[in-house]
Amino acid sequence: MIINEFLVPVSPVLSLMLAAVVLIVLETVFKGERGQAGKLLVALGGPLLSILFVSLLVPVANAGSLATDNSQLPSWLMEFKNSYQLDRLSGALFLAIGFFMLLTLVFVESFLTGLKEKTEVFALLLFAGSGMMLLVSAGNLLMLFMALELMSLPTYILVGLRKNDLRSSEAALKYFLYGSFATVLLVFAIALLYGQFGTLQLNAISGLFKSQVPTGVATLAAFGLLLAAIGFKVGMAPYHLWVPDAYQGAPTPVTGFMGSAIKLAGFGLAIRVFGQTLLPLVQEWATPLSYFSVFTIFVGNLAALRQTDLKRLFAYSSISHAGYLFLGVISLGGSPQALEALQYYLWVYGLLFLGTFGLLSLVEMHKKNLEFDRLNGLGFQRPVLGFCFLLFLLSAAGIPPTAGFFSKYFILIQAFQSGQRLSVVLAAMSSLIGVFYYLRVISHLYMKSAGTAEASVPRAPKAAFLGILLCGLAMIYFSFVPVFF
Amino acid sequence: MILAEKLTSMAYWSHFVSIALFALGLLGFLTRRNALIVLMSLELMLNAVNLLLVQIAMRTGTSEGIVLVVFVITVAAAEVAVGLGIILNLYRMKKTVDLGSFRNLSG
Repeated sequence: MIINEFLVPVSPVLSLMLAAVVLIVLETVFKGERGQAGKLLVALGGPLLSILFVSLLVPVANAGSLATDNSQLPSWLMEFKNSYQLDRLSGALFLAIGFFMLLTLVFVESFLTGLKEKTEVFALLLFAGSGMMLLVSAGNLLMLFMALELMSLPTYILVGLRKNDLRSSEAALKYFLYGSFATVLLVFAIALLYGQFGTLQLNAISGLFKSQVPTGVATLAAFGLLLAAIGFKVGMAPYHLWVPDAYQGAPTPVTGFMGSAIKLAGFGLAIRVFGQTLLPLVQEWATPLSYFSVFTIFVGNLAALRQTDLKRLFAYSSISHAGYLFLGVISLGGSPQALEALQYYLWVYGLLFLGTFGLLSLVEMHKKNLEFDRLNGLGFQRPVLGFCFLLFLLSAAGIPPTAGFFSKYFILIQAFQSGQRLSVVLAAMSSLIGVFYYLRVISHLYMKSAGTAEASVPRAPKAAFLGILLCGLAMIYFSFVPVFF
Repeated sequence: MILAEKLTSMAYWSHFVSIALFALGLLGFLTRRNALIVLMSLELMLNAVNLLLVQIAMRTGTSEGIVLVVFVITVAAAEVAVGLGIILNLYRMKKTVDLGSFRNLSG
């Protein structure tokens, strides 16, 4: 009973946790550099096993075969079943998290050279990944809170990984303070919802919303606090102030992880809260929140215009992408297909962000700064990688042959169908601003020559090269297969 | 009967204690420049919420709130450990924990 009801549904999460624990044990036995290949193998084994379990489980879960007679179960198992929902959405997000973890592990192994604590980094990444999986499948507010913390705490440490680099530690402090503040707001919102409804179960709260439209100040406050907490986590304006600092100061492969996997998990949380629990009240919040996301898109795109540091540029671009994604969350009320559009966008955006930051880590390897000039002539020195970078940039800008165009198009179509016409027009106009700064980076790639004769960008390690190439190919593949799920 | 009514109304009033504590923590978080005091303000806010959760659990007669409090306390301890580590590392380099002095990231 325990195997069928507990271990099988939770196996994708458990495999990540198990890999992390095994890594910690291994590190105590084989210290430092010894057995690095074996440790990497264990670290990669976690997400691989997880992907395998998910792809086996999701068809079964969709067919409804996992639903069994609940009356026989012991009470703790009932609690567990209530707080963990394995459905189509969590299956798709599990897969994405698994893939992003694999790519991140490869980039960390290739680019964080000279780091003594690499095994601990793997373990922290895996723990954060298991937190993400629990977050996107949370069924009650207790699990939601714990999963959010399981995801966030390792990430604070990862951001401050370079202990002797002041900027890394400073980024960690800023991320920690803003992140913990978001947690506090979330717990307060949970307390208010609990006081109002007397339950922590998301389904139960949603059901109560269906039967009565609450008007009390407590519910309104809970709604505002939830919005602020989620806004902080996914980096929506005006809660975005930590994003550029944390993204710039963090080690570059870790930034890739934050912008792809953590953003995905944050939107998983947003879908669970706004797209499921608060869905009965969609009429009340859809229009105001759509202006909120349009504001985010404009803030991200306008602030990105005046950046000179590449990591900061992509941080602001990630803020504007969060705005588009939130527009997708809002349209969940009007059209159920918005869920697929959102999943597609999260895949495409995560892969292009990871690929971009893989490339930036490579550029960063010799000299530490990441000004635009560092990219001069990259397109000719390293043709394949340069072309991949071109694909990422075109995709982020939303130029038609790439996947980024379709992801934006689907989101805007869904938002239009759910009635947010003005927001769609404004969002489309704002993406024009975005094209300017992406094209500026492209001009450095292909139209300026590097000052010195020797190659300024080192040859990529083989695994990392394959990872970046995979992301680049995905940009083409996804544009031919726009309907993925 | 009257006593029971009094207790219920007191239960509602006691919510204001935790909300006031939360507001104090918020004020400290937003205005103080010392990283350690900011951390303490965060803890104050978390504990204010804990108090609120316990009160609600007592009022509604459900146990979920109490369970949540135990988890929140545990997580708060872990959070302090991570936060203090980060602050200590910054202090090692800059010999100060004043938030205004950390201005190396900008663009």
